[in-house]
Amino acid sequence: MSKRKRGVRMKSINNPLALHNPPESSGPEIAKHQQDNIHIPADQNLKGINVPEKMSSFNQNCSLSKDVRRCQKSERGLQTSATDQERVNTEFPSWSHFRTRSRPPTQKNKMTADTSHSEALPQQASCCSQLKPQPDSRKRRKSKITADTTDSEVIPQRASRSHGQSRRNNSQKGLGSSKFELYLESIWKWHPEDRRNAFTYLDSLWFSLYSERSHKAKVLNWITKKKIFSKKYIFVPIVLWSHWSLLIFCNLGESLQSKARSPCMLLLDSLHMASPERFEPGIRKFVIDLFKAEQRPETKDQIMKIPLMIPKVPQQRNDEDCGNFVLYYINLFLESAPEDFSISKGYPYFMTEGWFTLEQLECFFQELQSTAGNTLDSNECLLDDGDVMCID
Amino acid sequence: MSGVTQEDDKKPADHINLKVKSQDGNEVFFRIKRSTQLKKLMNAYCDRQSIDLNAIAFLFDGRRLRPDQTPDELEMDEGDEIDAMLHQTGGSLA
Repeated sequence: MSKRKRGVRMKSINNPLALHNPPESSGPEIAKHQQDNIHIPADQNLKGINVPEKMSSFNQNCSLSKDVRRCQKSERGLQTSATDQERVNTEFPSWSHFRTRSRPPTQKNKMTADTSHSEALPQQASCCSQLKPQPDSRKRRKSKITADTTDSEVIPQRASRSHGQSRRNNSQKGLGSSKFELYLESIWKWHPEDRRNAFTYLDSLWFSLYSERSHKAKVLNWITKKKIFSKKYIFVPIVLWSHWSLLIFCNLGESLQSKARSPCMLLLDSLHMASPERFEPGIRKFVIDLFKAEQRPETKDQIMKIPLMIPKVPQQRNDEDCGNFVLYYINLFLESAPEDFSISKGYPYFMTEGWFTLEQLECFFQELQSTAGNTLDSNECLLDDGDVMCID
Repeated sequence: MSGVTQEDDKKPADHINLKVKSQDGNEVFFRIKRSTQLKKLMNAYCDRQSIDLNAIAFLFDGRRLRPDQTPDELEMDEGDEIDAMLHQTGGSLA
């Protein structure tokens, strides 16, 4: 691991603290707002929650130790090492990871189209070097440049099409959203239908797509078709910032005043040292949008009070297993979640640090691979006949 | 109703035009036989865009398309849109 990367690691590890000490700069109003949100559930119900102070010390420990492996970060960490506050103040930057990486050639094309807009280039550079994802401004800039280039021949459709689409996932460690979905389908089938009727799950790409402004409305529309408010438990796999975690909505359709089955959210994360709290602002927005999309009567303030709990669950020991952990969390939750669950009674008994061992996880994953594995080979096919035609 | 006219009527409906929209909003149009497996369209799209087939999730109405599905099976209509979204990978902290 290079010095540079280690520096980045240190920086971002300290960031979670920023959540608790609002940064002087960047949108103090929003910061305060989010600060409040974070404390709402904690104030309401402290039982079993990972108290922020504890998390902070956890992170400090991590940064002090030289255990590079546990805190290891890939190159893409550059993006996430923007402070949490910056992250939440912008849209989620998940897509800007690869945009930034694959942009240069396209960017060059565009710049030759109109070099008078030279300020665009430094901005792009600062976007990388200062680690401030600014998808919005980038979008605006893009359209600006396009508008200025009236000679349309300089922006070939074909050149712009592959923005960010050249990234290969193969070389990356970890679980991709393609396999994840196949595995999840397999897991689903392991459980009897009458059991899984109370559950549903959202496609693992939806949350990250939702985080992009341009796809938000579309994703909400897809979700409303799933009638999630009629389900007792909804799994929302989250793959964001190259990390898998699992959000579970419980009793979302129940009255917020319900004692026996009050709505709550559980965030299961196999990497607590990376502060799962960083997802809270995005999750809060998501839930509010879900209620709105379903035209539910609850007010924003009421929705904000739905507790978001971060239970202690088994933790990963490497830099690639988070996807497997999420799948196993889902499997075990499907298996043992109680019929009626109310957060006021504490966490379900099974959700502890010792929920399962790494060996059990290993067994589970091997079994999963053997059942789902044979469907994974990609279908090669020859483009020989005229059944498909591209129309320009 | 003679068999001939029926066939004449049916013929244009054998094929439909589908729009494949990439994550950044670019659109490519395809004409595909209703009974053709969508893997051909997926391949054609990725081939054209020079991207790895495995890097893309094709979503129709948010649902993942399987390569062996056909427009008929999915009851696709003329002009329907398919989203070509990038797969995400998660390991640990990025």
